[in-house]
Amino acid sequence: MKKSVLNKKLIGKQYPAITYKIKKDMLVSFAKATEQVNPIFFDEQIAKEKGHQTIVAPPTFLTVVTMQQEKPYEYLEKINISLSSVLHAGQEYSYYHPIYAGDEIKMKYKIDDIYDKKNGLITFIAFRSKYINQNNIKVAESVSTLVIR
Amino acid sequence: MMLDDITQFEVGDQLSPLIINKITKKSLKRYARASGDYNPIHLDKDFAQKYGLPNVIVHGMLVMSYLGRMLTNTFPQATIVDFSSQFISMTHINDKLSCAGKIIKKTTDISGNIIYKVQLKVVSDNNEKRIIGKASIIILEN
Repeated sequence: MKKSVLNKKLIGKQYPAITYKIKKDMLVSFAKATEQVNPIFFDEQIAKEKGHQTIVAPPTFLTVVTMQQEKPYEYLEKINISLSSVLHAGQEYSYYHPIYAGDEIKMKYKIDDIYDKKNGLITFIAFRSKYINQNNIKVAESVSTLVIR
Repeated sequence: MMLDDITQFEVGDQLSPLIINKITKKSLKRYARASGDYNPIHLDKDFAQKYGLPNVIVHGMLVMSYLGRMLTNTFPQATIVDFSSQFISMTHINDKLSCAGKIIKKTTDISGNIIYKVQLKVVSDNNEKRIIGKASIIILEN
């Protein structure tokens, strides 16, 4: 059996928290790029008319929190994984509270699991993230799994 | 099927599907700018070819976003309690995709809240599965 390319001792490794302020125009451009048709995701007035405090973040928006950092792939570099060797294998979200334009989201994340398939030929690494808003409410949790080629 | 009353779905019912006619390089550039995901495998053909791919591949999260759109076309955002995707195969430039969802479980708890389990998939026009996914929806009794 081939030895895993990643040391399983990395499981549990915590990263420094990231804080991200959701600007209204970020939500608007994300909505355009994902071709949203529901105006609550890009039109403040309609969002309010529909009972939301302002523009709502769509289900996959939280993916931008890590990507909007100055060095978005540093979390991989820190554990010696090169960007060109990974593919996105899975993504899970749990939602606890609405996420709006203007929210300041604190993301805490760690390596949740490292495991092999096909007798060690393929290695997977899963990152678990918790997202907390400015009122200290947990808004969501995610697990992002990468496969190392 | 499109229902005005989202409490009326039964097991086996399909959500109103969503067809993505064509994903262009422009779509990928726009998504890269909006998300901040500038991984060259989605933007640089030479880079992609170096890794044995015919061309750039589509961001998995863009495809999952289409699936999310299909879900929020039917269910209000606040009713979605979880949503997940497994990326089964790579999505290519010019792929035509169809996003589908099916109610596989419906339960009503003692307070009258309705819980749906929804099975999700994204399939290409040559019938390859791109994503299989699932979601849970809770509709609170008012």
